[in-house]
Amino acid sequence: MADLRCPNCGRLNSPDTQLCDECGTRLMAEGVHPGEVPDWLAAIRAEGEPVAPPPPSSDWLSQLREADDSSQTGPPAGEPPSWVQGAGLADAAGEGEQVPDWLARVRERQAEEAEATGGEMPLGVPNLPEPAGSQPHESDSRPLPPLELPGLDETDSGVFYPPGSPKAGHPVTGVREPGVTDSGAFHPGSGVDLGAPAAGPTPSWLGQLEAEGAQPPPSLGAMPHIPALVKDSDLTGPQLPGDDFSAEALSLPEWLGQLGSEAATGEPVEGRPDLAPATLPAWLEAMRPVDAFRSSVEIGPEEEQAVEAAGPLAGLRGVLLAEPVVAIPRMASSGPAHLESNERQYAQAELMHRLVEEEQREVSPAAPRSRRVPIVRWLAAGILLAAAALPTVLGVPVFPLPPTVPLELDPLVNLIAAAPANRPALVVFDFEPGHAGEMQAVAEPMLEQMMQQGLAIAALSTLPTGALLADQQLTALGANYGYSSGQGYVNLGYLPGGSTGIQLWSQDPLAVPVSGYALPSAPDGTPLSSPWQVPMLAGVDEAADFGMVVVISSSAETARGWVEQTGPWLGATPLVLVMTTGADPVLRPYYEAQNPQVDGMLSGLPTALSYSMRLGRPGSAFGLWNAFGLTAWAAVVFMLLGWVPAFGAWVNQQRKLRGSQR
Amino acid sequence: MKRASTYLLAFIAGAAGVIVLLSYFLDLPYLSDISQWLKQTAVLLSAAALLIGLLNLVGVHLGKIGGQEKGWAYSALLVVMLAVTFTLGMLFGLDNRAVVSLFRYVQLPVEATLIALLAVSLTAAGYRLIARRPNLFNIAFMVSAVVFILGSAPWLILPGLAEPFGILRTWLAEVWAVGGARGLLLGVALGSITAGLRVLLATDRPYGD
Amino acid sequence: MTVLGGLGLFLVLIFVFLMIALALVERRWPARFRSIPAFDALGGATERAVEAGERVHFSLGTGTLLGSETGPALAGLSMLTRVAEAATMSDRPPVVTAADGALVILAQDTIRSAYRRVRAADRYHASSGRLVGATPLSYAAGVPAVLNDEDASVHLMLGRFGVEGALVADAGQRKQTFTLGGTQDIQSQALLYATVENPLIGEDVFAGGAYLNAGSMHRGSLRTQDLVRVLIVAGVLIGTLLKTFGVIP
Repeated sequence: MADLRCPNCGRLNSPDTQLCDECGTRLMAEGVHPGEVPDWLAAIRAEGEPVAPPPPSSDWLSQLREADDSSQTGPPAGEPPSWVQGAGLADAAGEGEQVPDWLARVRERQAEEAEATGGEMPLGVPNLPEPAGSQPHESDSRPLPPLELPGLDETDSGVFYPPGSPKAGHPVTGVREPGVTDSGAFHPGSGVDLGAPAAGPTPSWLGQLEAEGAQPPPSLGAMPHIPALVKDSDLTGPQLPGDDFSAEALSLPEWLGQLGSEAATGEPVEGRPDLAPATLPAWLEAMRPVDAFRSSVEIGPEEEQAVEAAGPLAGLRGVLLAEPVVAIPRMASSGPAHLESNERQYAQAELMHRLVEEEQREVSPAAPRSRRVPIVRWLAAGILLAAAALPTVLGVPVFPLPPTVPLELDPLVNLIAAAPANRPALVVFDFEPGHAGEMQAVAEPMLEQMMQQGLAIAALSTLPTGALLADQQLTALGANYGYSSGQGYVNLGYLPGGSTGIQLWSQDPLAVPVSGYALPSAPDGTPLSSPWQVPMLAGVDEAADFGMVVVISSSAETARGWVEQTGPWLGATPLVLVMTTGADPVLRPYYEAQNPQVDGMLSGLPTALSYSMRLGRPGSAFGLWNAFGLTAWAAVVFMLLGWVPAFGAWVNQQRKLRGSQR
Repeated sequence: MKRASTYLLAFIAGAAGVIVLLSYFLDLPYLSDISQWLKQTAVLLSAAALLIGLLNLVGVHLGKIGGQEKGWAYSALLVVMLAVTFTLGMLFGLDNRAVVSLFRYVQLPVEATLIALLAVSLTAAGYRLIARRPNLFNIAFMVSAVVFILGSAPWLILPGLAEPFGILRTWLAEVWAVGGARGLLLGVALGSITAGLRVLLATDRPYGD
Repeated sequence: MTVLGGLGLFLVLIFVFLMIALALVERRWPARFRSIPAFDALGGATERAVEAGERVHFSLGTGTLLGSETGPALAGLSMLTRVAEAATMSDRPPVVTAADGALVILAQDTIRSAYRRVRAADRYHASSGRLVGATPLSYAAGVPAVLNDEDASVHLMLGRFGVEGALVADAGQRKQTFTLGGTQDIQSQALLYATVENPLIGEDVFAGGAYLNAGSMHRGSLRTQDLVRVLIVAGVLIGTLLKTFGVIP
């Protein structure tokens, strides 16, 4: 049998308990014991199939149960009723032809009672004449998901009762559907008969219902609790005492949840010595059944009643309308004389009232989405494209070169100049292909300086495409300085694992498998299987054996990963970052710290241009400078134009405000 | 009642995390070895997960092709190109001329175009931002953005203003932005720690219940 | 164990203790968090999407489960748990996209668990979690197609994003969805601030669980962060003063 979830605190309890271990809330209706579950229901549960539970007692049903056993025996013990077995079978209409005997007897009994009460059926059973030939359609009706409200007692049947009325109060249910009685449980044949499906195409919603009906409805008592996505009270005010505090609700481990419950309660909950006298909220007082059942449908003299205009009853007078009977809520014929509730239950009832009221408030539908022509986007694209193309195509305008040289440039140039010639420099190409245009231009002057000095370069990347980009740039630049794969540089290839891979690499570079990219051949012409076989890497056993580590990255996070993971293993080997302007503020603290973890920085196109000027070699940065300048100005002007309508709207608003004040 | 597998998964996740965490602080040889092994396994598993992800990608698009859903032709193109690239890479290696050509003449320009689109999107967003959310923060945001761009860009007219704008940009970047970035980094680090610890304590179980 | 190692371990234990303790005292002294407009708006947006039969798209970003990107990924998964639970009542389950295979698997597990919790496991489908692209920009290129094909009206971005995050956000804006975005990358936060309708600033991305009612442990975590932050700020201020007045060299 499935565990019972407490409706109050959400804790899962063993199936044989009646009171919640956590908060003492009754888990099953009074008088209902685990051992007393009907056999047929127990059999269903044993099969693990969620089914509609039996309804709680109400007056009319009590009378039914008190009837002669010989005429109402129910389904055979240990065997689920046929309506349960047949629920949801594909052809509902066909199934509906076979009404089980016990159900037929129940209906007969209901009909007799209906006659005895002047045509009024008990609560939840609409008083409708059953059309000839109609059959129950179990699979066409399905129970609503239960309205799960905190603090309400939940019986085994999954029906919620207001506090203090665990047995016979008004169960709280959702909108009533055919087949769902007041008990909130599903009863075949007790609802409005939808009639046999007419010939013709089945509506999609009905088809979906039929398809879903192929599976038995979930047990209401086993339905889970889903708290609101954003609970206002959680954010703005204190919770109600006892609300939502369990291992499940906390998402704490069970051992921790038990610890929490002990700490929170401080005393056993079974005793409940603090029960307060019953207090009834006003709204509940109004709901309290005060007198016997009274028909809500006033039947006037026959001559005053309307003549039925359509349908098989056309021409008849005094036909009962279905809608008022079904739709008008009524009071129960009897109810508890005393409602026992304590302060906590009172508070929870108030909470429920608030929740129900909020539920009635409809969420305003979202404004219909209209297809708009993205004029602003097109304009921006056109202007930026023109600004980028104009200097490239026409050669105008020509912007002046940067007037100032960044402070970090000179130390970087000196650092490269001081790099040991007998140890290779590790250059990490950690940028996506989309950033290649910018990053290759920024890194170019530094790579050129390294090649001018004849430094051996080992390329590496934590991105799968980085090896290709490294090869592309080193091949292009190296052609000017006699560099080729194996002669001046070697491409170690792709290092998988992100930050973890960087850490493993830093601890022991040789232990991390890198396959290399475009590796040279051995002197005897055989292809090398590992980049570590290239002679220029012969002296490298650990990360600190590199003469310098340069990280070229478009992402501040990736660069941070290198700084933080490699730093402890580099020793005296300097670390240099080459990055975009946007990453500068994030990474600068590593450079300007009292004990810097970064020894050199190169960021952005203007700094790269200054670097190229310093080397006296016009690099890619020169070619991009004019396009960069004009595009930047175009973007600024375009954005400033956007402020004009915003300012206009603000002026209008102020004017209206002033007008209203007058 | 929770299933035993839930507890088992929680135990494995928690134990692996605790071992790796402790190896940072405790200098025990066995612990370090296990930690190294766990990290290497994680790297391998992530690569395997990428393959599973690719299968998922192919499965979703094959479903679209099979159901003739909207845009199924693009899905077909994706599956074909994936198969071609994958086959070429597996057979001839990544340094094969055909694979390099696919990268250089397909992936590189497409990604560069997306970055160019990013510039368009950001410019359009800057155009609308104040009109959409007119408040002091957004005005400060946009003014800072304009100062940054003008401080980095060359000046064709009034070149004398380039230097003051450059100084203003540097001041904003190296004082305000760096200070703010440090604070945010600190907050992000604290958030990352608690997120990780919740998994170690098995209160967050992203691997399922 | 080195002094630094001991200090680190001590700090971790302090964190654990504070998280548990503050989660336990949550009942008696519930925390009052400031309002974050993005989270406030999320409930209504999800509700509308569920009622309208539209889909919620949850982007877990372009990060992986290795290294520093793990934090936002886990935070995103925590929020996904709650959003998935809230969206289970919809006819159309949420669709989750990522650029990492491991994240996709975890996303599928998360959604499956959410459906299992509401006894609707049969409605779960593996295509709810998808790998859209294996690289950040290919992911950004694939997201608009998902938004259009799935008719998503809620577009949530929580995880690691680089600059491509602005493109992902822009796709949502173009489709006029409810867009909420947050990441740990400061550079990308600036881009998301301009392009996302409901941006999350700083470490707000880690506060999602607490604000979305994911349990007291999340609220305890957030209180722990705040408490430790206050201690760090106090330490920095005191250190600055002592250094300024020459008390410490």
